[in-house]
Amino acid sequence: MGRHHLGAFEQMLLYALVRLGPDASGLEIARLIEERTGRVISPGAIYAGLDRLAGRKLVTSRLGEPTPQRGGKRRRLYRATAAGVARLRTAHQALGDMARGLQPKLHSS
Amino acid sequence: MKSGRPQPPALARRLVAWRFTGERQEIVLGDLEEAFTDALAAGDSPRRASLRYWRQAVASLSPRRRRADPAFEAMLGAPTDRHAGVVDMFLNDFRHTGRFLTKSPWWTMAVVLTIALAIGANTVVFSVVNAVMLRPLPFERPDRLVWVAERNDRLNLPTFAASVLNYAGWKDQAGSFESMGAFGFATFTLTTDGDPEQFAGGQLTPSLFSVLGLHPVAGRSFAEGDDRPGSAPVVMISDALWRHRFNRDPSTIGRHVTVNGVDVTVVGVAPTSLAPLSGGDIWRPLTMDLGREMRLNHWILAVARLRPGVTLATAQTDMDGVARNMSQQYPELRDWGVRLVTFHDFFLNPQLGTALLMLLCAVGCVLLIASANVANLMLARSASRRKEMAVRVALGASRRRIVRQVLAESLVLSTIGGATGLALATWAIPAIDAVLPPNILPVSGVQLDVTVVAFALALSIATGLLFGVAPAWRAASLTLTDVMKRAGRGSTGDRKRLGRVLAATQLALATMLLVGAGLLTQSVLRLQQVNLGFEPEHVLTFQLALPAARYADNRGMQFYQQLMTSLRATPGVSSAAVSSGIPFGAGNYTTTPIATRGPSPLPPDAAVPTPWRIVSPGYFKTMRIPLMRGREFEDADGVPTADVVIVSQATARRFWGDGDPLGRTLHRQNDRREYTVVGVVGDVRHTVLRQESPTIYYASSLIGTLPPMDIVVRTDGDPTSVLPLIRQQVRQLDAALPVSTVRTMQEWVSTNAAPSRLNALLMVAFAVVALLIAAIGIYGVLAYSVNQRTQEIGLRMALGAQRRGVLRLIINEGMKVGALGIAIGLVAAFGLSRSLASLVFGVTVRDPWTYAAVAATLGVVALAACAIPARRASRVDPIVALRQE
Repeated sequence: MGRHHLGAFEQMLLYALVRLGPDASGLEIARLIEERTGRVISPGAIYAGLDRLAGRKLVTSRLGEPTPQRGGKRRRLYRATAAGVARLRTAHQALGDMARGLQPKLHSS
Repeated sequence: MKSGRPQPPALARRLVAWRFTGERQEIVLGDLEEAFTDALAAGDSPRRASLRYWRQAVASLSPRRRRADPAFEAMLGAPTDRHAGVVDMFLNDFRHTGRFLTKSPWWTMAVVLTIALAIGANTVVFSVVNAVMLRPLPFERPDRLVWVAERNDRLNLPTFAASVLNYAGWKDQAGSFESMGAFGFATFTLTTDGDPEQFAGGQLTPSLFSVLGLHPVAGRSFAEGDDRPGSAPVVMISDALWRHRFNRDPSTIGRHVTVNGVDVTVVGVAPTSLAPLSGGDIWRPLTMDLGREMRLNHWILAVARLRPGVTLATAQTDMDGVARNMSQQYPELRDWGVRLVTFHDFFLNPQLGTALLMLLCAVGCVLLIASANVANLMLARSASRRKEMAVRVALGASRRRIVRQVLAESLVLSTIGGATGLALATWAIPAIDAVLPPNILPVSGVQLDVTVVAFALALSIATGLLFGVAPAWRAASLTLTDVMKRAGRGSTGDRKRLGRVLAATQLALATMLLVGAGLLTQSVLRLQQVNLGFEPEHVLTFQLALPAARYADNRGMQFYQQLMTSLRATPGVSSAAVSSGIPFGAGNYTTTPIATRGPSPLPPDAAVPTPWRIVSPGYFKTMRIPLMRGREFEDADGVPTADVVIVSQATARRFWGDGDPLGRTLHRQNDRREYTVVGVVGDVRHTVLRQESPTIYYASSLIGTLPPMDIVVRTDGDPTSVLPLIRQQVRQLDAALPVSTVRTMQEWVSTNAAPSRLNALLMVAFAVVALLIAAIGIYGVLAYSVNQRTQEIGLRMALGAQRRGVLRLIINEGMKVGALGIAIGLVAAFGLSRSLASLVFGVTVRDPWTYAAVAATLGVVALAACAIPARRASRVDPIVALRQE
């Protein structure tokens, strides 16, 4: 797996960050993915994925304020960096190119 | 912590906290808690929200294949997730185990089945222990409830029922009790739509429900005033009766029904939790007519709730004072005191407790034997894997790693076995609950609850560790050179020694179980041969309860006289009689303090509570209770002036020693009326097979009858064949009278022996299982040894050893282990035998014959187990064996 490759799960995280806009929490990302794909992702997996993206400077994060409904605990708020959005766009385009014209075939089986 | 608001599950929270460190821990915990709070706000049940929390927490445990970028981890300074490595390693171990176990499915199945049977049996027995001894009684704060019993040390009555007058006195004076209630037993005939049926039940003080913290299922419980003499008659019914007779119709509350011939109102339905205390289906208020009660008529049970902060000891001291005051006021109370008994002790009879603990120990032994056996199987198995292990050590696997690997294997085995055992128990527990003789347990409903499941789980893990330790230790002490040096060749010394120790342990445990089973079986056989004092064969019994409303004065008496006349004329009936309570039956167990005058071994004026029964003429003949002296009752005794009584031999001995009882007199303590002894009959075992009770028999014509009365009919042939005729006779006399509790006398006796029989049966079953597993154990050790020594044996035979010599060699080796195990088992059984004393009957717990028989049986079994490998050894072909080299 190349250094520049974006995994499917990583793409999903970035899509979620783009949709949610800046300062999205891990919980919100997990909820969005579950809502849209039906996949339930554990917090451990979400943060591991975000760690990987952060390591490649595709996302940045900051610590938020503690809130009562979190039992007084802080949250970490993420946003996709410009590089992250660009990388997602490339991946999206690549997939789109691959998929173009295949609609009838994909839906026939 | 804010109270009232549901909190996330603490254990799951701890799990997450264990898994992550630092900031990550805070954030993940925060996420989960936020999701939890939101779910609640969205209207999810706390249960659902907790479940989701748990799912996420468990999911967080799984290690990640791809870790975060090392650079990023370095940036964070400390690793964010702790224990990921541990989790990873365990998964690895378990994957390895899976491969190992599926490689030889038969071996795995044998092990799993052994464990499953042992853990299943343990779970079943524990579920009964749990139901009887551990599960809290179905009352509010049962630890604060006490039974307030009367006691009389002079008469050796440590606990006794209370009289209504004493109860009333205590209630006035006792300072330690928050509240007090009482109940007595009673039977009722319920008539709805013309169909009479007899029910057991009780009389309750209105306070009883609030003392126990019980609430009616429907309607109300008794109110103060319901118990006043002359108040409108009301009853409560059981849930079962409500369901079966009234279809759970809410309009049953307030309905008028006929109970004992009187029109009464149903006011409420009692919860099933009343049953352990006062069983039955119908209850009425305990009417306190203090003017008509006798101070020494002990017929109710009083219970009380301790005031907050009051200890049992303080309350006992307080009640001692109350009792002293009362006996100064009422001289007849001299020698009588009060004893407080906790509900725990009240409900758990010591014999049942001992029996259950014994069974639990027995199944525990079976589990130990099974563990030893599995350990042996694992050792044998590991012998073939020594190379694998040694190579792994040589490649740098640490000792700990190897130990963990082997332990993981045994844990997986024991968990699968435990789960299978639990499944077996889930199936067996309801089955057992259904076939248990009724009334054998003081509680209803043995079931699989959280405690039982937790027990099975803990047991599985403990078992896995138990049988995994020896193989793990062995595996870890291997070195490559060791293995290579002995490549291909046989066993190491300590592997064999370990195997023998395990086999001997199994035999020792099996010996102990067999001794126990032998003693209990003998007790059951002796109990069956006990001289009951009467002949139960060919006797049919049933109950009739004449409603007082329709049978006032001596009309009841006349009814029974007519019934007896017509029964005796029935074809197939040789004799018939009436009693207020037959032995082992469901009749009245009446006891009253009795005193005598004149020369007596008793202190002057002493009153001894003595069981008494009302019987009709012909009772002793029908029951075949031998008449020792004097005469039986005759119909002429119906004349009220003839105050005569018949006593049992033991009663005569107690009151008059060796003197002539005929013509002596007895009187009830509060009653000046004197009864003259006209006959002495043989002693009868009335309530327990283990002892006879001294009894006084009154003529029914003198005392009148009680509701209910037992009717005994001796028949020429099969007692049940005359039942239709009997029903017809009763119907002819009174069509509204139910014939209830129809049993043969033998059924009554056998029901009484049921607990002993069940104990013995279970013990024998466990002992046989233990014996089988132990036999397989010794066989396995020896078979393995023969296998390892094939070459040696071949060499011996090539050098001229005879087949017989080889046979002897191997059998000697096996029997040394066998003899050691049996000897240790016998000594241990001898040491522990005292604890069985209360369960055995007619045989001492150190009966030499039992021990000898057990030793012989085990010797034969061990010999048989040795014979197979020995035979194989003697058939070794020297050429083949030596060529293997």
